[in-house]
Amino acid sequence: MITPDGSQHRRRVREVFAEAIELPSDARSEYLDRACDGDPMLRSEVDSLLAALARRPEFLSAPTTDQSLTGTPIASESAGAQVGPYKLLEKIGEGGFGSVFMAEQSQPVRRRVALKIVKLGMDTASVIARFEAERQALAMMSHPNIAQVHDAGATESGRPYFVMELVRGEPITAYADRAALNAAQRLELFMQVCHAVQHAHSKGIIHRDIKPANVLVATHDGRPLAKIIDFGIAKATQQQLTERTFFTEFNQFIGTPEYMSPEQAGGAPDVDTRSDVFGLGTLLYELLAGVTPFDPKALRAKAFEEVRRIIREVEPPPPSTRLSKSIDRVDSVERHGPFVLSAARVAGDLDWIVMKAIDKDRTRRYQTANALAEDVLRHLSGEPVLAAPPSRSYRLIKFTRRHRVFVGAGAAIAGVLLLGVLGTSLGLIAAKRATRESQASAVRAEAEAQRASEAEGSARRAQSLAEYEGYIANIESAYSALRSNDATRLRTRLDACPPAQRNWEWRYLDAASDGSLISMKHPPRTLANLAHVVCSRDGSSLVSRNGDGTVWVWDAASGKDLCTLSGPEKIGGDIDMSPNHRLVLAAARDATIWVWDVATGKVAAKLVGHESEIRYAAFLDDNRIVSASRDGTARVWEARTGTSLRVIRQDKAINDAILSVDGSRLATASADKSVRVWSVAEGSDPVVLLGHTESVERVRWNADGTRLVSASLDGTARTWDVRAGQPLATFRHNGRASGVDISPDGTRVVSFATQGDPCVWNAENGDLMSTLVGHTNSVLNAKFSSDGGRIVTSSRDTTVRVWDSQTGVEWSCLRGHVESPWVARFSPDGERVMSSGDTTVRLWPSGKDGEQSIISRPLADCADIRLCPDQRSVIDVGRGRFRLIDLETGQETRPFEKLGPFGQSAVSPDGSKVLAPLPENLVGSWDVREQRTGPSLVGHTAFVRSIAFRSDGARIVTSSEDGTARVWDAKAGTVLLVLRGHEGAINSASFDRAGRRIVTAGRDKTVRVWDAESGTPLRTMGGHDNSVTTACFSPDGSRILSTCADFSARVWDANTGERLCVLRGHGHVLLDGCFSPDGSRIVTASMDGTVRLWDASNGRQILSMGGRPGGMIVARFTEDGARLLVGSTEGKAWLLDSTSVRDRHAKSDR
Amino acid sequence: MERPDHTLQATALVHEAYLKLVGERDVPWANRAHFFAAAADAMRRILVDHARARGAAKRGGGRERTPLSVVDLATFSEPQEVMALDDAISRLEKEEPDAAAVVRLRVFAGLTGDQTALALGMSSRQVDRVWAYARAWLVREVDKDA
Repeated sequence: MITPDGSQHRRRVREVFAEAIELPSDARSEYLDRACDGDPMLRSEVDSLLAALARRPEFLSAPTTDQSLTGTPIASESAGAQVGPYKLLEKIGEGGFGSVFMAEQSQPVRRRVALKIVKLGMDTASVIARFEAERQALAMMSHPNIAQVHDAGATESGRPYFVMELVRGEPITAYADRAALNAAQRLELFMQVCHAVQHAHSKGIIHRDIKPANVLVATHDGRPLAKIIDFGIAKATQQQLTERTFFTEFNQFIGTPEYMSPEQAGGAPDVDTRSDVFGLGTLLYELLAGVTPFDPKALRAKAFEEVRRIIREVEPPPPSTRLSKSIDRVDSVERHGPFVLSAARVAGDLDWIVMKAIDKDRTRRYQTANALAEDVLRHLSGEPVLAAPPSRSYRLIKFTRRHRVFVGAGAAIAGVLLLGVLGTSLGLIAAKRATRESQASAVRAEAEAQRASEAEGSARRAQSLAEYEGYIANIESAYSALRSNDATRLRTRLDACPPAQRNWEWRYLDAASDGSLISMKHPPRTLANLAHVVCSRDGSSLVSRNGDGTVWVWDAASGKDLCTLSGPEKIGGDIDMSPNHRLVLAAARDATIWVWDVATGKVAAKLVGHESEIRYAAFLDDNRIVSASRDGTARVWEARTGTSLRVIRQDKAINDAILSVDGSRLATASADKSVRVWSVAEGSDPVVLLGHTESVERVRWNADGTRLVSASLDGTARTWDVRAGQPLATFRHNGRASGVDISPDGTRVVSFATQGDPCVWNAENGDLMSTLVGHTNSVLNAKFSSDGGRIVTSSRDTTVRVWDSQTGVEWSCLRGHVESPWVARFSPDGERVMSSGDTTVRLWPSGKDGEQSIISRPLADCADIRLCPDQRSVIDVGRGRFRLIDLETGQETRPFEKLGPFGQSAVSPDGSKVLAPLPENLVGSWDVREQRTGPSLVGHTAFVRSIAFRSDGARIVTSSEDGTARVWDAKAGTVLLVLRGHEGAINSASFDRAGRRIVTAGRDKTVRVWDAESGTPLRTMGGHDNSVTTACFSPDGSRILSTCADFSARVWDANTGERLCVLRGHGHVLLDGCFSPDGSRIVTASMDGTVRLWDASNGRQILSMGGRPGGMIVARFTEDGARLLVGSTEGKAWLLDSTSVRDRHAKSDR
Repeated sequence: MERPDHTLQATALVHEAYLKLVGERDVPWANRAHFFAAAADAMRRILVDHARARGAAKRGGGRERTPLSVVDLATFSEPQEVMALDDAISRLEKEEPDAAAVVRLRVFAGLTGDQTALALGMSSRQVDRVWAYARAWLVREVDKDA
């Protein structure tokens, strides 16, 4: 036998193994016998390899080779198969509905997903159609507790499938029991679920099938994180509930009976968000009691109609009784192991909360998921819950429990004071007897007085602690209200914050709560939804109409009301102001038009003649008024006398009319399906534009009167070439268009329907140009700016938004109205947006809003974003790019041709110089004013990771992969010091404000402090578990903040090196962090997608801000502390402003 | 019991990977294989660092052996497994560097078989064969250690 040399032997092993693995298992041994004949070493080697793989076929799961090993036949819908663009990897679940696979998607992004194949028996086309109908809304959901649903389609064999985010975890009830969560922990977990459901509701998505199997929990950095799966799937797969489906498909498609809401069981077609509240209530029931309200086994044993009756009529026992009843208790022990909550813990509040949530009558349930969560929170914080009518004794119990520390301390004070007084009096009495004793007694009294004051102190501490925790809870709630556009709750929560506690986060939320420049408030008796506002031709005055019949004139610059005009109660139509500001008109619902003289505030004329509702009324010039009515006439009037000058008649009702900008022509939208264009001077022989097949409801002119847009009940909007009398294009909106506008140049049209997002169209060929995605409720209004560049929309979601009309990108989201703003439009100069609703008229800036990404052309894979000191330009660094972007003009400069590997760049304190890491271990410099490159800093022997200036700009400190930090003379560019000591690369280095010390963060997990003059190492702080990503001094130099890849940040005493606190909570690596300029707050940025604010004094998390795309790589306060720059890996950056829009504008005006 | 089913995906890891990536050498990005190898290597070090930190945290705790898959790797679920695997891959590297290269790209850079083939200039079939072999080899090694 020849002994094979090592490499030859190995090659042979691999060959034989590779052959064998591709053979079916029954053919293998024959092959091996042949191939290894006379080579037992080879045979045993190959055998051991085959055995190893057979033992753990899932190891590093490899779909392509697994089948041959496990012998699974390749079927079209089993592991290894291709379903559309997805490759099935392994089956991870199976149930009545079908199977769930882990799958791999390769286009357009490579990722792993969960793919759910619904079993046969459903109409695939309609399932997919229903999914498609909701797809846009589904895509808008973005919440850490919601698994994204990406896609739906049909397999080759025609079964519908859904593709969603891959979630690992176990059903919430199983998790809670296995992790032996106590009641409070269960409730906290449950609140996550409520907030996620609320988020979905705010996007218009109802889950319809909330149950433990659809709420998966996994531990995320030591904390449980719930994820709701299957959003949108219940709706797509819903079927009419019939006796047949009950037995065959009930569990799969309709929802399991024990989790079904009464209205769903009743077959109500209008399942709404409150059905999900019911689902949440059932979930909470099970989390607390360990069993569902109705026994599933008993339910399944019953006939269909009986099950329906039970679900709709039978009141289940409150959860606590299930815990005390021994029989159920045994059952729940059996199911969930030994962990059971005590009945006493659940009785009372929690019973009431659950029973309110699962009320048969949905109007008596919590109306929103948030309301449910808030009541749970109230219970947790010891406040009275809303769920039960709180009796006096209940409130009292609550009060003492909540203030137990305080009440106890109060009693202690009283006791000690009493003792003190008693002691003192006794001492005085004794003093009469013996001076010595009296002195002793005085000493005792003093000691007791001191004890009294200590007790008082602790009482005060207890109170302030309660206040502090309450503040944080309010801030968190306010932030979630901001995210869900709940303006009322946002305001309430902010107002509930004690002024002494208010800090940056409060000012930020306060500024974000109202973005208007001026808010003009009508008296509260007004019916909010009747308000209407127009602007004078020159933009200097606003006219608004109230529900109570009054018309108000405001100064647009100051927001002061100039005069109030009283008219009939029935004012309900258009209002307008004459070009010379002397007259104001308002149409009333009794078909009259009232005209007032602004100077006197008196009625100047009443225009009587129309016989039906007035649909249009406006000043033609200073002396004449044009009106149009459903009586089929349009009229021209003499404004001051009310004399009718001309009557234009047509057969059918006029639904809408509008004067051309020059006032020469009037376009009417008619019930006779036509659009007519009349010469105001002649009033006869109109141009008749035909094409609509139903009544025309809206008509609008472009600026030069060459084009019109109309919207009709036939579901289309059309553009017309007025001169040619011809239609240009037809737009078929998804749903009947309820409003349209045309850009002044006539090239674009915006239309909106009661549902869905507004669409921007090419007016000439009807192509859809963009969709304005962002509003979370019906759009009420859409208008172009006078230059056509922007569109303003208002919505029932209470926001007013400004969009780029070319790209459809949202410029700003204007928050402040607490109810629907019915009207929103640009001021004539385009500088302002005005809106009215909820009894206020508001003026807003129309420019870009800081809450939008300040980088207009974001690029993915961003590494650093820095704001220049003047806050006018921003630096964006990514792989191979370095852009200096002017925030006002959007202009970009690219100072460096080639960049080194990722490293942080720096801007000098005076903004004149920009430094960046270049290839060949250099630090490049760019003179911002001269627009040219300066000399590079040469010295590092590996590339540079960070660069920072001293606050006076005279020194620079750099850190590098070469394990050193270097101090440079900024002017001369020479190395002054080399700081050695770190083992391995230094990720960051920076000066303290005084420039005396330097702090460095190393990949060796340490933070080090150095003397900036001598380079002497002063201190080394260890304790982090991974590479330290940044370190910086507090503004006063007393503390150091370090952020780390170990998911935590730490605060250190800069002088002693003692660790002061650890900031925990982030779910991923931290890449940036700093102190607020006053040193009271810390902000951190993490790859977990959140930016968090912390109390710098104790490390308590104050607020976690998520919801922005990508991992967060930058979080830095501006020098003045007014703004917070936040940047993400997606190349987007935001400036969060803590100054209100009003203050900002007041400042810039000054 | 601490079982952090971390939602850290390969894509999210890339950013942290660059922190480590830039550690050793100036990477010429033009070379595809080199880039992926470097990315895989950085990813591996992050995973192992995390695993080590976690392992240290729960030393002594009895632990059920559960299968390791690519997804588990990306979620850091089993620190000992990750470290054992890393050791095994290092041994494979010494004995059969070409197989180790395939493993690194597939496991740590998360490439598919086809992408690995492209990056290494091999055929897909070759990659599949080497991959099957490497997996078997690693299972044997890891089990030997256990």
